[in-house]
Amino acid sequence: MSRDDEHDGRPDQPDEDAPVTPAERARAEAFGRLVDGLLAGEPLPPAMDSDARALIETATVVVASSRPMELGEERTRRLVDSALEAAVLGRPRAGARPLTPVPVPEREEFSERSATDLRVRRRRRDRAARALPWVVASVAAVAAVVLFIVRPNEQPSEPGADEAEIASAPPAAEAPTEPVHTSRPADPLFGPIPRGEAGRARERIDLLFADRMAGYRDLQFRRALPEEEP
Amino acid sequence: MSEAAVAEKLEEERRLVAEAQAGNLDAMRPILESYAAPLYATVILPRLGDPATAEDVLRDTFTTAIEKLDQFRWTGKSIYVWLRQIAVNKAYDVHRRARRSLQLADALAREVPRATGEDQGADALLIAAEEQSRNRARIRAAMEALSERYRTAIELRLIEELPREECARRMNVTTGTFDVVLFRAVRAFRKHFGQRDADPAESGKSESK
Repeated sequence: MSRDDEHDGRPDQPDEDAPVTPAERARAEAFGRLVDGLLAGEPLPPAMDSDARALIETATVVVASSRPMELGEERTRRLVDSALEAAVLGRPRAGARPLTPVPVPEREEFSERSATDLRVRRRRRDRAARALPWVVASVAAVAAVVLFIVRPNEQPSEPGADEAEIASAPPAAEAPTEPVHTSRPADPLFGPIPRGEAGRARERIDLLFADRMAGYRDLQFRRALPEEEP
Repeated sequence: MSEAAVAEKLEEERRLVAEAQAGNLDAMRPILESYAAPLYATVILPRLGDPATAEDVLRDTFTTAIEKLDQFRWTGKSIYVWLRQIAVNKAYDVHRRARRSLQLADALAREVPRATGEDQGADALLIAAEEQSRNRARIRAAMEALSERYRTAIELRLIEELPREECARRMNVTTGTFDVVLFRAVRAFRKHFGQRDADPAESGKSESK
């Protein structure tokens, strides 16, 4: 094998005899472990640098071209199940029951967007479900505002309106136009006591006492005198 | 498989497809389960190189096929041909979307014809076997452009699937050195494989060597 043959008329190839750096050796060893996993049927690690991923994918292509890489019965069955479910937009698998066909919109043949359209439709449905409570709350708020605007006409409320409300409330019995405060409703000695005189109770008490004393003296005097003949 | 067996199998397939088109999509299940393996192994994985992505593409292929089943017209050939076409297109789309390695992606995608020829047989498994042998031939043709040392490393490790230690022993190097040789060999293969179709004249020259 001559070095000249390697580069004669051929695209660039990494020089076989170029010195190996420690970094390259480490990467080569890591790649060797990835190839071990590939040949053992293990899944690729989720995190890989792009160069390593590109190389292991190339190795996978070479391996897959030389012998069929099996999917496994269980995985095949699950894959077919999920494809059928996806095709009927998430309806659960019916088992023996026939699946009803889904109307397929007119689309270009072999369009790449069929699976994407399913995801878009599902996203729209989720978005609508999330927005529904807000829509209901907004409608309720608007209805409350409308009802408030078209409510029956009411008096504006003022401070001290409670007393006015009580005063204007229909009375249980007929009330005089002026409030009357009397010691005894039909007392002839005083008669109706105007509101302005309500505070002069002492004078009324003195007068009442004097009147009662006079009446008592009169009674005593009459009892003492002989009964006059008519 | 004899011609009578092939004809019987095709008739059963036609009946299942008609039943699915009539509304019972579950009738497609046995067809999809039987064609999942050849589609995955010979059509999708050799084009993508990533098993997880290949599974997703296979699932998308089946989903699309079920959705567009009413557009399929039976022409006496297995529905596998139609499924294969969908799978190839899906694999192309993955590469275009990923933009990760357009050169290699385009090369991998172009290496195998997109459409099956008119003279293709009706039997799906026969079609898959022919595709597998075409894949193999193209890989070997690309490896012809590598140096013997690199070609040997790839053959021993990736085609014969020998352990690293055994490969190193056969090449009279240490295991660490063999790791470096294989690493460089796969990089060279990838670079060459991507460049081959970029220049059709060059690729024609390479194949003649």
